[in-house]
Amino acid sequence: MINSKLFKTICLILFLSIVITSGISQKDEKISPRMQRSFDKKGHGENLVAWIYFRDKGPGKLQKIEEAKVTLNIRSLNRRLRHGFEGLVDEYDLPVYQPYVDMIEQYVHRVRHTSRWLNAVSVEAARQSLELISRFGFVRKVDEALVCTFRDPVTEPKTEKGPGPIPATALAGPLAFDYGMSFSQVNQLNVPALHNMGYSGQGVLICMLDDGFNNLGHEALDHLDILATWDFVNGDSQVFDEEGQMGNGDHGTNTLGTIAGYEPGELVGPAFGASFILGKTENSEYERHIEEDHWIAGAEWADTMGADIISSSLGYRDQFSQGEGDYSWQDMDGNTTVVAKGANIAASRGILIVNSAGNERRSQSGRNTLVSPSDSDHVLAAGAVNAQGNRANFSSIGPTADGRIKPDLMAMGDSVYSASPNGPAAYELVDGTSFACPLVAGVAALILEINPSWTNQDVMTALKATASKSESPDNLNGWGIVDAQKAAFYPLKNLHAPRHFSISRVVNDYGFFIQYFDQLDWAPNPRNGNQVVSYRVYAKQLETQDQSFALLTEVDAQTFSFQRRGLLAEENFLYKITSVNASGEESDPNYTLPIE
Amino acid sequence: MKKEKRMKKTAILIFLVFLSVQVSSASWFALGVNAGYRYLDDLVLGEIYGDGYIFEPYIRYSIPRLLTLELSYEGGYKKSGPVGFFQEDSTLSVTGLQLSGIIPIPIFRIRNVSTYLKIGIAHYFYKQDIDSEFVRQQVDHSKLTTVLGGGLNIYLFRGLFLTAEVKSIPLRVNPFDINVDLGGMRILFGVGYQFWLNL
Repeated sequence: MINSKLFKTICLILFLSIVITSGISQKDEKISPRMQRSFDKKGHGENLVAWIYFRDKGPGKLQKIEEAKVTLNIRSLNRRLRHGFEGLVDEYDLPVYQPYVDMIEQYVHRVRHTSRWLNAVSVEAARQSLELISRFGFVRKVDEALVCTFRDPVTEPKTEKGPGPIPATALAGPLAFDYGMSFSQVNQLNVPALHNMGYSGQGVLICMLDDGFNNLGHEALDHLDILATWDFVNGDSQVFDEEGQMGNGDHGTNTLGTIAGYEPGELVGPAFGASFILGKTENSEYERHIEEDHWIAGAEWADTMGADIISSSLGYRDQFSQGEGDYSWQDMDGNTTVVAKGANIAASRGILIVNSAGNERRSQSGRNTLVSPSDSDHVLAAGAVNAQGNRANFSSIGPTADGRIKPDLMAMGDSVYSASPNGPAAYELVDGTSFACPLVAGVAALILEINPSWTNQDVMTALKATASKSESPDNLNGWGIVDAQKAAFYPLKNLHAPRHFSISRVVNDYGFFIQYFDQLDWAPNPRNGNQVVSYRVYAKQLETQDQSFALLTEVDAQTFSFQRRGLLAEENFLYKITSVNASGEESDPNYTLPIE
Repeated sequence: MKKEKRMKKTAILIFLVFLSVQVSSASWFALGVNAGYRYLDDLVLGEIYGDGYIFEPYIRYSIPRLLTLELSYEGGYKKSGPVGFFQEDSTLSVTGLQLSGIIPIPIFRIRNVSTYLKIGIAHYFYKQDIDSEFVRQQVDHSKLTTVLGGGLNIYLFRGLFLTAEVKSIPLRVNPFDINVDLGGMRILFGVGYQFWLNL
């Protein structure tokens, strides 16, 4: 009798301990370590900004996909068709399941954004609420939404720099437009050649993701075809400064002026004939505080509106608080940050994303100083050069944490002439990769106007293959300065280079000495279908004067890695890889460099 | 530098003169061989190749009332193991020539047993062979080092004796950029035969 009672008591204790411990472990698993650290730092009543990820998108998935096809914006549909997007709509396009959001709303201070791509909501809520929410069965994860800074560049006084922009009148040759002081920035990219042919980006929809867009009545901006605007910070359609609202600033005025300003004799941007949608994020005077959920919301909006290009002069790396949640150089692998994930989904829908590389200079360690999402393989990272074509010292460098070359392309980001927010006919010189970005995006718009059937990958390939350092890209200047004319008329091949070509240098310790090997990895390019029979890997030693590539190996189409063995520490190589089809044709190459 | 060389030459000269004088009295020489075990101090190579057996033939020559000189060769350490990231087959061999002075140190008074201290110099050769077409550096080097040890001889009958010996030979090498410790203790047992010289 006693034994039976004891047995029951033990069973009860065991059962309770299993229930309690499983509950605790489940809770711990759902709350990310970064969120947990934020809990520890903040007070109990204080609101935190968090992502709440859901497990699913509710019942009836197939039916919802069919419904989403019907409601897809025609521009978005066309872009996806052009891109060969299978099925046109997938689970990413389905809205977040509203009953989940309704449930969450009862426990949080505010729902900021819902993200269909991440299947998540960003919220402002107290710690206790987030802990409670993490116990809901439909919640997969609770993570911190990072607040990052995007620093404006610290540049030398103008007198120490080169001569700066050159007015168009100083140069000979017939031009369709008088570019005024903006001549250097567009001429460097060979944009006037396309303008002379009558191209200005017409029919291309560009989404500008930036902070305040003030002074849209400026003489160089009043011609613009602005289809929509949205303020993601304050949740209204006004993208200019409003009394009493958060996120005032006018960086967006400068970037918009750079890409599409049109006032002959003063300013002519590369894509002045394009259409625009403007999305506003947060701003302050010197360092702009950017919350990553705004960017995701903006990118989803761009997709919904059917944008062809996103020009994003923003980036995410250091948290404003300099806390433990910062993104570090190791996170810049194109797949870790929330914005990189969002950018990858946007790119998979055919949107061409151009992002500023960052104004974080070179690091003493030689590690990357990129900001995300410029680290993504599917994003064109724009670095800055001056009028003479030399890299601006503030321009961030690569490679990505997984060894891919960054930045991708260079354009002027030093003394760029643009519309000023300070008056209807005011102009100013501005610095930063923020302005190289719209210049590159503007060229991309011209290319898409000339080649409306090209995909985002085609544009990226053409831009890289024709830029000034296309044969010897590096982690300071990427593939070099864009050549708009060459890129627009680049003969694209039907065969495409493999993707995600990356390198890691591995130590091979023999006891008495160390040698290294370069581990090269790549992924097939789905656009090639089954036509690839092999991949060819080439290398060029960086320390030698020999500029030619030597064939290292040719591997079959089922092999996606190669080890270059027997290397010494001082030997560094630039590698390139091509796809080869049955008739021996080679694709354009993809490149990778070791981390210096 | 020059001064140092001159001093060395002088010391050798004095030693040889001393030796020639001593040969005239009752001296002996011995032949023998030891075998035993050596430890490898290097942590990385120790993991790969480990400790190993060695043998050591030697010849001894006594200088009465002073010391005994010993010239020996250490061989037998040749071990294989997988090395590097790709675990390629490799072999490490370490051999050495030793010239030591044996100084009798009477620790205990047992008939037919003598204890001694051994101090000397050695020239060691080490070689690593890696079975890989990608290896671009060849480890085939040598280094001068010292010998410090002690042991005992047990005299059986006539000139036959047994030996037990422990010695330490430091051997820190750096053929490329990595410091490697090829040194380690040796524990040896052997047999020898002593011949008397009646000059």
